[in-house]
Amino acid sequence: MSDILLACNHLKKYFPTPAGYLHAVDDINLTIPRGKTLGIVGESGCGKSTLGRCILRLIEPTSGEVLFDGRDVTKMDQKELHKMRREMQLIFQDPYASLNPRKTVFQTISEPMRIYGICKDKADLERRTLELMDTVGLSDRYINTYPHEIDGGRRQRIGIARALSLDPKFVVCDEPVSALDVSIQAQILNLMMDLQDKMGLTYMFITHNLSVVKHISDEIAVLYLGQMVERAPRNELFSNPAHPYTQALLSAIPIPALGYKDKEPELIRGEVSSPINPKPGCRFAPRCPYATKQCQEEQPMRDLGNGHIVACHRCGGAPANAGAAEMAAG
Amino acid sequence: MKVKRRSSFLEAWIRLRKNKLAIVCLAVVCLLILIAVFADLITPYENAIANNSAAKFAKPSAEHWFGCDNLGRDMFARVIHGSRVSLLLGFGATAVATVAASLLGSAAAFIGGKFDTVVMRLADILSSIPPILLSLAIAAGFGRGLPQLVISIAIGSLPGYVRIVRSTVLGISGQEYIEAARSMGFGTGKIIVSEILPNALSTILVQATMMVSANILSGTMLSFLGLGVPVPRPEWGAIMSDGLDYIRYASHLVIFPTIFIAITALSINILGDGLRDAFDPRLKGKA
Repeated sequence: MSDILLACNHLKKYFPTPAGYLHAVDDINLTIPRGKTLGIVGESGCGKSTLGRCILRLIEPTSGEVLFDGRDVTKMDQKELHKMRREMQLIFQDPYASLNPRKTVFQTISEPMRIYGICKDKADLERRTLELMDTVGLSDRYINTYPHEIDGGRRQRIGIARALSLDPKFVVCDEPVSALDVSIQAQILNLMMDLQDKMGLTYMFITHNLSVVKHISDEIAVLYLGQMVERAPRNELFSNPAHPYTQALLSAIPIPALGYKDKEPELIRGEVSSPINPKPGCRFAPRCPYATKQCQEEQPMRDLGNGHIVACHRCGGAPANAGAAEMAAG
Repeated sequence: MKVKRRSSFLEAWIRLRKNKLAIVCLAVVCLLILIAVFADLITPYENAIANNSAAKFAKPSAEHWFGCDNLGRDMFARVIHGSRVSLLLGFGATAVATVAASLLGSAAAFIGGKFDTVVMRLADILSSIPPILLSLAIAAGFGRGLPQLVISIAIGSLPGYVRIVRSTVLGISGQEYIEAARSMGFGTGKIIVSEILPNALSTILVQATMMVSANILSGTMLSFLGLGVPVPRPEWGAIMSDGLDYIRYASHLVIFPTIFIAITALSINILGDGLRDAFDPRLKGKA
């Protein structure tokens, strides 16, 4: 068994629009080792959520492959996919929209187990549901309540319990804390990290919140307009950002210190260019202070060593073919 | 903590019981259904169709509670026996239309693509045919009779109904909990039945209750044109339209069937409102 649980090779999702193809996810290569967390960061509309849904095949990818435990998810038929759904789950951003308002907590959590016939009888189903509620820190007195009677943090716990009910190996977390209060955010994040240790889960953690991603990730990938511009282990990325976009992102994190005056944050000028029929070359080039003519022609991948890969000319390092190199290493 | 084993229907019933007005209306509807079922025990069918020239236009009396019509037939017996056909039309056509529209509308919205296009264009075609013409065609093809009448009324009300269900379901299927259900391995049929329809129920129920009275009146119109049930058989709408000619000097011919139609429509509408609230857990305690 290889220690790579999930690998995407040249994953693409183009949405047809009247003006042309919208490149929501464009040629993404990534790998996630078993039991680790890959953080995906990027601004709104950069294709983070689409990427997560393509991997789970809730959205059909245009091309490319998603290897889960060595099997290609994109080529599975309905039956295989149904089996696969047990092992790959999704935690949603909005705990208000992601729970059916007409189902009690018990129904919401137990339904997936009933579909897959995990429990042999009703008593067993009940016991497992209570167990799951206990695992996510939800008091058993909530078992007969409806989602509208519960606050956001507890609702998100229901969502997590539902995702865990099938005992998955891999969980895509689509901004699971961005709809919650800051105080609740930390609780939920810690819960998710505990669960990872306990159950050996592998996470793909999608967020726009840099401090959250720093807290939970082992490795971080930065997305810009559907493309991965940089990927590195967490500490490497925060201490040594190579791509101008990553640098700008990191410099925008406020520093909580009185009288702290260093350099002005590097503000990015201009707006995100359109993802519809993008021009070749680096997509960040129109906003990049260091852009040269070369940037408009091609966008090479560079390997800076230590698993640090960046899509920029200015960085040295050997040329890298992200997917292939990583697979070989794995 | 025990898991409550109550089904959603039982819970809805518990909530409905708190709504006094709805319970009264439920009782009225049940009473009407009982009257229809046991009409023969209340008064023999003979009374409803036997002509009696001596009692023409008799005013309501101890002998003829609702009076007599232009042929001397006992109005009470006619109204009681008329409830059979009328309620069957009202409830039957509504039930057929509701089931068909719920399944077609939600499948069209949820599956989308070509299936959606085909269903909606069929609905367009159907709605462009006048209902009377449609009933004529069905009568011509399958003969006259109560089942044909029920089907033709149901089909006539289908296009608008399908459209309403479809737009409701479109809104619901964009919700995240539907995507969650898919990622949990729910199949399309299961999602429609257990996730979408319960959330579309309020719209469907309100539409259905409004249709019951409309369908009774559609039956009237078709009976009036001779497409309904064969003549001597009483039916509220038919009794009413027969009596319309004599409204100036024998108003009881119109008043009694009208009262029954009105009571039926009113109690079903109020009951429907109550049911909608009862099936929505978010309104718990408010209603």
